Amino acid sequence: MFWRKRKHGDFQAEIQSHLEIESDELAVEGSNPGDAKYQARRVFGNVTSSEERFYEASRWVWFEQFLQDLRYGIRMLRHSPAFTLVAVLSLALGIGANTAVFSLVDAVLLKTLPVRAPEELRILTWVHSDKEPDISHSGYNVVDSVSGQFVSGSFSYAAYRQFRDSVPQFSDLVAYAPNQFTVTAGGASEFADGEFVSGNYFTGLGAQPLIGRPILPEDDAPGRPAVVVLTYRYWEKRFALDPTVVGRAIVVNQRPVTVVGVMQPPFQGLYSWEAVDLFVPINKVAEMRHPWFSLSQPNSWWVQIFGRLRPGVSDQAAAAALKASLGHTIEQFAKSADVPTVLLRPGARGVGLFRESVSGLFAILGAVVGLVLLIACMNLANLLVARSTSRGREIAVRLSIGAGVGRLVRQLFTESLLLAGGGGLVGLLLARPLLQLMLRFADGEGALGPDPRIDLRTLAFTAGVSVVSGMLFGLLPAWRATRVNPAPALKGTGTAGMAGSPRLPLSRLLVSLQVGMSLLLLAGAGLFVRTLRQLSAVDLGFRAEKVLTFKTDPSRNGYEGRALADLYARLRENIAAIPGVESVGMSQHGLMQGVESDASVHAPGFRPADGKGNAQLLRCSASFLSTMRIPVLLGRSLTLADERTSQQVAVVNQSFVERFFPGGSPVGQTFYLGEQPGAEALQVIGVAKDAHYTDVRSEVKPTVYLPYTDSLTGLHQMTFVVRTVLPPLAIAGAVRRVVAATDRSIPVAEMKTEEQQIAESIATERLFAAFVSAFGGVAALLAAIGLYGVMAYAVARRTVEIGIRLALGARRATVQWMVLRQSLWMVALGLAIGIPAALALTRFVRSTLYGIQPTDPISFVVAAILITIVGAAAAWIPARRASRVDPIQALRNE
Amino acid sequence: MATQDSDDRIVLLQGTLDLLILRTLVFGPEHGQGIARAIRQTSEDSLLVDHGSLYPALQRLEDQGWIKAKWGISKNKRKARFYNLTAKGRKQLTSETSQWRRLVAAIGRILGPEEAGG
Repeated sequence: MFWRKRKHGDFQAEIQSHLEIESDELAVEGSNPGDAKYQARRVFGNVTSSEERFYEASRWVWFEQFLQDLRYGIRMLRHSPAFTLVAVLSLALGIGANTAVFSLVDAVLLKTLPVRAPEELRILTWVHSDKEPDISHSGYNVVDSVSGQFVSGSFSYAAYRQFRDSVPQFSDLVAYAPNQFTVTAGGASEFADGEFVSGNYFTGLGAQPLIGRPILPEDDAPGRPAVVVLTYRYWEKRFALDPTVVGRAIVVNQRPVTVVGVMQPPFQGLYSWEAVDLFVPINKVAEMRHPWFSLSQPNSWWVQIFGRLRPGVSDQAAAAALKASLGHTIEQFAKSADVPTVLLRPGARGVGLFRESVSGLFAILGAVVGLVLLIACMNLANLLVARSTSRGREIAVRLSIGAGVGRLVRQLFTESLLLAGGGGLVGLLLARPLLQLMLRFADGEGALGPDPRIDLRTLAFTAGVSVVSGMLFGLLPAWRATRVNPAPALKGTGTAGMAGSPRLPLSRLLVSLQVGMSLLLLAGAGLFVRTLRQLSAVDLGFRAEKVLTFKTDPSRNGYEGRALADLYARLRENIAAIPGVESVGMSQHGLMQGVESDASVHAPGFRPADGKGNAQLLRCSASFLSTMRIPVLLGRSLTLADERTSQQVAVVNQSFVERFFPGGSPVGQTFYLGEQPGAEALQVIGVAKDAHYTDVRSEVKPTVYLPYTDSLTGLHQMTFVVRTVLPPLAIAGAVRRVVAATDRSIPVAEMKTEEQQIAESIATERLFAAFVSAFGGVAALLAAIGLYGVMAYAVARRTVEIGIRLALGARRATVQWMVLRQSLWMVALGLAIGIPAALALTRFVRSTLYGIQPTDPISFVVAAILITIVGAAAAWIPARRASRVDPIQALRNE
Repeated sequence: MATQDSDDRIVLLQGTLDLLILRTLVFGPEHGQGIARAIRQTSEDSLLVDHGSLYPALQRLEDQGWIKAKWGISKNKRKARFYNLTAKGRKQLTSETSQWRRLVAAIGRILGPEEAGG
């Protein structure tokens, strides 16, 4: 009864019976039978209208009409395949790009951790102050987005134990510390990113294993056999999803460790940006030979903590309890004055170290793809208006035989939504390759953690965007359709009329807007491309070509101190013996990796205004400077003898001399590293030319090059540089073999050329240049299509007028120019809109630019010229068509 | 005659048709034409039911479950669809009637006593 409506025929029968009864009665009352029938009908009124009202009251009619509209829409779209193709493709590009950016944003910024009740999680941090405790801390320092304070996220292990035992406001407190491991399995040694985790880490977070079991509290105790849990990603990458790996022993940092489980795919650690490979109980830090993570040292702060707040407990109360507890441990162990304030940060989305820095990047990507979609929508609105105007006669016929305006609008909207749906579907197919392309640019090694994928959330987003864009571009044509006046349209003057032909001012404005937005994108593309060129042109101070680099860390395999220094020397000799190798050097940090060491410097006669002077340190082999072709301008370079001697010597760069030894010759002078003078005295033996250390962008800072043997205790990871006479990658295999021959268990990681390293260091800039150029091109193409559409339509409508002009003696060139001029006016208006908008907006990307201003005239002029050329090219075809109008043909049409 | 001056007739207020149909059916099952006629005659020709609205209204009431319909044979041996008041419909009629009375009384009070000669 509810869903089975009364049949239409049944209703008709009822009306029929009404008429019959009525005419019977009228006949009884005295009318003759013929009149009675007629009168019955007259009294009843419009039978058809009554039937229609019955039909429309039926619950399913809207659905039937929708299906009808859909069928009709598909038929209309099939009639003009070129239009449909352009519409669906341009929408697909816009929607696909938006989907790709959304899934990236979602993965990095929006998604919560795949754990139980993530909103209960808090990240424990403490606030830096002037009187911070005398500790060495690793981990991260970030500016808290809420308080604006500089906070640190690491504690001592003792503090963690104290919190766990004495702060009841949290139901679980879990500790972890990111670390790099060397994993030897299947005969190969490689680096793996992992976390040392407390025994309650998985149970406290509520993260489930896929196979096997997680690390349990009983695993995290001294003397227990070492176990490891893998992430799905690492299991797939390293063990090819082999389920028998559970229960097997693998070698981690040269220690046998049993794999007990593999986590479910979404769980990849607590950082939102980087995924980890494996988890090891935190009690194994000493066994795993970590150089300074210590369970007993109260001054070593390296443990990061997540807490699960009990329901009903306020953040303030919990933070106060933590502070009290922290005061206890500091008093007990460090005797330092002020206890730092503990600050709780929301932990539902994991630790978002790069959240602030990437949100700028995402804002730019999002703005670009949003603009492209907007242009695509405007373009479509225009094409649809042109179509609906040429369908004016059809619409007029339908209006005049009684179609409701609402019904017509619904019909036109259905067509728009159909297009949007098609665009959305194809866009979804495009999203994945687009995303992968973007990731390849942004993240050369594929190390990006969150592994963005097209999931239900993405689908919902895409569907939403499709519907909204369908509404956007469907609105204008639908609105215009309601304003068709049937009479003139039916008389035929509406399609071929010469006078009073609508000039489509709105369409023209839309084209101009498209041109303006394309200009904005092209100018942006120009800025980013020029930035990239400027960055590529920077003289880095060293020669990157024909250099192969890789990282290794034998310290995890048990090498330390002098033995490690000797191993490094042996590795260098063995690699240098490979045919095609010119020289081999190494340094503690690789150049252009964004990593540095620094220390405060005290030099005689140096009195800085702020009392402090810092320099970057680079511990390296004697052969490093010559291998990287960093010239020594004064004095001498480091020598092998310097690596062996107890005499502390250093080479400094020009910036260092300018800052700490202005005026006099620095060679032979002494300076001190560290807080107190006399901590470490270093003698300057030479001055090297300035060379970039961490990245391309920042200015060269005062830098000290020290022999890596300067401090044998802190010696571990090294980056090798191998200068070759052959293409660098040609000797990559030989280098691996030589290292393995020296000691099979030594890992070789991140092997690449120095040029690749530089390219990776400016990956964001490359991404912007490529991405914005590509979409600027798409935008310009769409604007061209829009302009072409409007002009072609205008020419078609003015065929008669043009015919008359030609018949009256107008020259064809004049006609052609008339059309071109109109197009150029639209472009000019677009430039008038686009240039000020671009000038106003590009300053928001100032921090991303290098070596140019946001108002860089070259970028703007080139963009304006480009868009003008594109516009003229688009208008040329209709202009030519106009000039070839045959006056006789044109006038015969009338 | 069926064709009278339409000027004397009152256009039904929105929603009152439902009430009149329900009221008419109190006397027993009736078909659409009978309902229309009954309303016209009971109101002494001052209310004319627009047949175009009658059938949609019947359909609406049927959907609400206030009336039930069944095909039957009319007095003059024609097949007709007879409508019958349900229990739910009776309740609805009572509440709508009292509502209507209150409304009329209230409006009457506002308009004041009828002027002589109208």
